[in-house]
Order: sequence, then C-alpha cells, then structure tokens
Amino acid sequence: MIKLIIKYFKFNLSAHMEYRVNFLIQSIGMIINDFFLLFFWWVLFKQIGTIREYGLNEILLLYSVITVSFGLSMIFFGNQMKLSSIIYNGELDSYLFLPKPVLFHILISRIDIAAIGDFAFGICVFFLSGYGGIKNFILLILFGMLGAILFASFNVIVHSLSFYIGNSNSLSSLLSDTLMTFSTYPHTVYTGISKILLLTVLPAMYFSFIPVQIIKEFSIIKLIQLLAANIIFVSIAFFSFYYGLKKYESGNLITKKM
Amino acid sequence: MKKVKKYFKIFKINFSNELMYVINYVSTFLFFGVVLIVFSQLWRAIYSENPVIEGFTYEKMIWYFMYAETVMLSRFPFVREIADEIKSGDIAYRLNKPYSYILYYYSKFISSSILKLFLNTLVGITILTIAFKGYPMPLIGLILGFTSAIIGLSIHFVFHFFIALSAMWFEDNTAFLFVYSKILLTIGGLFIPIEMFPETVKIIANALPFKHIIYTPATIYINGAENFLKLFSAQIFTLLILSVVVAFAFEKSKKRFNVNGG
Repeated sequence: MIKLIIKYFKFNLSAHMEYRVNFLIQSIGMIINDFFLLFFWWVLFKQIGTIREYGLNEILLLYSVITVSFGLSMIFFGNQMKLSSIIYNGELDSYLFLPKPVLFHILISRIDIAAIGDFAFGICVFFLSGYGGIKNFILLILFGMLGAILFASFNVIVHSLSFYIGNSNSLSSLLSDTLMTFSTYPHTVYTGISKILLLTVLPAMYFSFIPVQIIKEFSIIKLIQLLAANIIFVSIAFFSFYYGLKKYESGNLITKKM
Repeated sequence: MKKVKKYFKIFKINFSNELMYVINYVSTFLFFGVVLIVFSQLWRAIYSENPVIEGFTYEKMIWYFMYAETVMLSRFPFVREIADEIKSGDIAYRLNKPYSYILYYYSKFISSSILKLFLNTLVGITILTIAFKGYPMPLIGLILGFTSAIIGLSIHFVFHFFIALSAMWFEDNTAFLFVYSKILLTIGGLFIPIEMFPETVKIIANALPFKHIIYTPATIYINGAENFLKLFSAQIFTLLILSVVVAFAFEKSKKRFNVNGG
C-alpha cells in the first residue's frame, strides 16, 4: 500500500510539474494565503495580550499542527473532498475493477498541489512558534500523520452521505469547513454545546487542540486519547463507505483517468 | 436607454434563475450560523477582560462582524467561468455579441449577489436578534448599509475581473483568488475592524481600496447616517477609478487572444 501511495504521489507530482510555473504559483500562493490568516491574530494579540492561555506562540503552534495535518492529508488523499461527487455522478465504476481496496484507491489517486504550500507553511511556522526543537518536531510530524488520517476519515464519513441521501456535496463541504473553522480558534473560548461537539462528532479536539497540548506538555493519556479517536474515526469511515457502497448504483459512465 | 435595458434584461434573467435554486443557499446559511457561533464565542472570551476595545463593545463587534460576513458570503463566483472561456477560446463567441463583455458579467454578478445579500442579511439579523433578544442597530443603517454593500460588491467584481483576466497569462489562477480573499479577511476588515489595527497597518489599510468592499458597508450598517456621505462618496470614487482601469486593461489584454477557427 505504501508503495502504491509513493507511486501515485510521484506520478501525480510529475503530471503537475508539466506546468512548473503554475505549480510554484499555487504552492507559494498558499503559503502567502496562510500567512495572511496569522495577521488577524497578530493584530488581536497586539491589542489584548492573550486569550485564555493562548498567545501568538500558541496560535502559531496551532496553525502549524493544522496546516501540516491538512497538507499531508490533501497531498496523499487528495480525492477526499471530491468523494461525494464521484459517488453521486456514478464515477466509482473505474475504481471497482482495480485490485487494491476501493476507498484507498479513490483517496490516493489525486494530489492537491496547493497543499504542498500548506505543509511548507506549517513547518516554517512551527520553527517560529517558540516550540521548535527536535523532540517537538518529531511529535509534529507524528501528529501531522495522525491528523491527516483523521481529517481524511472525517471527510470520507461526511462525503459518504451521498450513498444515502443523493447529492450531499454542499452538506459534506459544509461539515468539512465547519471542522476547519472550529479547529483554527483557541479551544479555550468554546463553551457549552460547542465544546461537546468538538469532543464528539466534530473531531477538532483531536485534530488540532490535543496535539498542541501534547507538544506543549507531553501526556501519555492524551496520546492514547488521540490514537483511540483515530481508530474510532477510521472505523466509522470504513463502515460508512463500505456499507454505503452496497447501495451504489452505477451511472454507466465512461470516464478516463489521465 | 436601450443600451441599459439589455443589461437589465440579463440582470432579470439571472435573478429569476437564482430564485429557482434557493435551496442551494441553505448550506451557506448554515455555514454563516457556524461562523457566527465561533466568532461570538471568541469575542466573548476577549471581551470578558476588556469591556470596550477601540470604541467597540462586544455587542457592536458582533453586529459589525455579522454584516461584514454577510457581504463576504454574498459574492457570486464567476472567475472560473471567465478563465475557462479564455482558455477554451469560447470568449470569441461572447466578444462577437452586441454587448459589453464586462457589463454582461457585471449584470450576472450583481443580480445574484443582491439576492444573496438580501437573504444573508435576513438570516444574519434573525440569528443575532434571537441571540441578543432585540435589534440594537440604527434602522437607517439597514438601508444605507445595503446600498453601500452593493457598491462594495461592485468594487469586488472589478478585482475579480482582474483575476479572471490573469488566465491569459497563467494556467491556473486559484492561488490569486485565495490570496485576494485573505486580503479581504484581514486588511479588508472582515475579521477585525480597521480601527483596531496598529497605527502603521491602519494607515496602509485606509490607503488601499479593499476596505471599501467589506469594512465600509459594515461600518455604515452599525453607525447609520453618521459619516455616510463621506464614506459612500469615497466608495463611489474608488469604483469609478477601478472601472476605468479594468476597462483599459481588458481592451489591452484582448490583443493576447489567439483563437483558431475550425
């Protein structure tokens, strides 16, 4: 499986390299795009100092964890955001005949080139955060990989809704955006129902907040929580996709993958 | 008069088309609700230690943000459509038609955007009126803010048209769209009003035209008639200048079209 991921990655990357200038503009554009987001926090912290345990350094660390996870997820599982339209348009047929597991094959067969910029941004910001260091860097990469799997699992779950309710594209994208929106603000500001949501159906706690807490102060219990959340979300993703696949109706669509 | 009529016709057709798909707006409304929840919790945490920041109370800040986000979510996307026309060469068919290419897209853009603006304003006001148990903003701000938002969206149209034209030089202009949208979020005053910026950044943001897209309508909305004429005339002036520049740029870039018949 790892071999296949690497093969796809190389193949997709070389396809994008055909338009080298475009590749550079997309990646650099995404880095600039992400830096702009930090502007908001910089202005805010200049005005008010800190927000419930979060200062600029903590926000940089939070953004680092999010963008490394998101970047890795979209680089290696680049089709996750298109899953609902693939299902709804009846384009799964071409994957059903392939020897490797269907879901895995769909996810890895596309690369989101701009995500390379997100990943690079995350690494840069990590070393600016004041939490840089070899041990923390290893943790960042580990959490980046776990976050990438968690994010992809969440997207598989919400995009698999297309099996059950028809075209779920806008609803699935809304849920995915909601996870991202909640993840990018300090978890300490959330109270009441939002807090419960972040610990359950919207895995923002495990996607960004707990990894930040572990990097700040290592805790084996939190690490176990994180691994458990990953296992649960991956299992739900498999179940919702493969159970839904039984309901899939082919569109008899002839597609070409280039 | 006849010339204006044809663009109004395009406006009308597109407006009725959009009305057919009101269901498509539901996910935007839900996302709007999510963003309002997140920001109200963030600002509540901030205001728990500072009752007033640069003249903004918690309540005023949330209403400002609501209207700023309303304008942001009302933008009708058209860049990809123009970019595809340029890349495929289909633009040749449009240029032959007896109307201005820019005004054709403007009519399409503004009709959808006005409908979105109206519905988003309704949803935003309803959510906050329930949350705050009342409507504390000046009523005149509703009309003036709406008028200013239409001009703001028109300025946004000009910037997006520039980005769409970049398809003549670049294979994919998505990165430009992302960066531009982040400019609106930040120095454009969506996330945070320009009054709160550090002095140097405030000078830069005030000198740039981006503030007239979101910040000016949201400020007029919360302040009502106060400073309306000054802010609104600055918006109109910016729109006029940018319109001349985009028309000139479009005429120049037409020379790059290279369409092979067949």
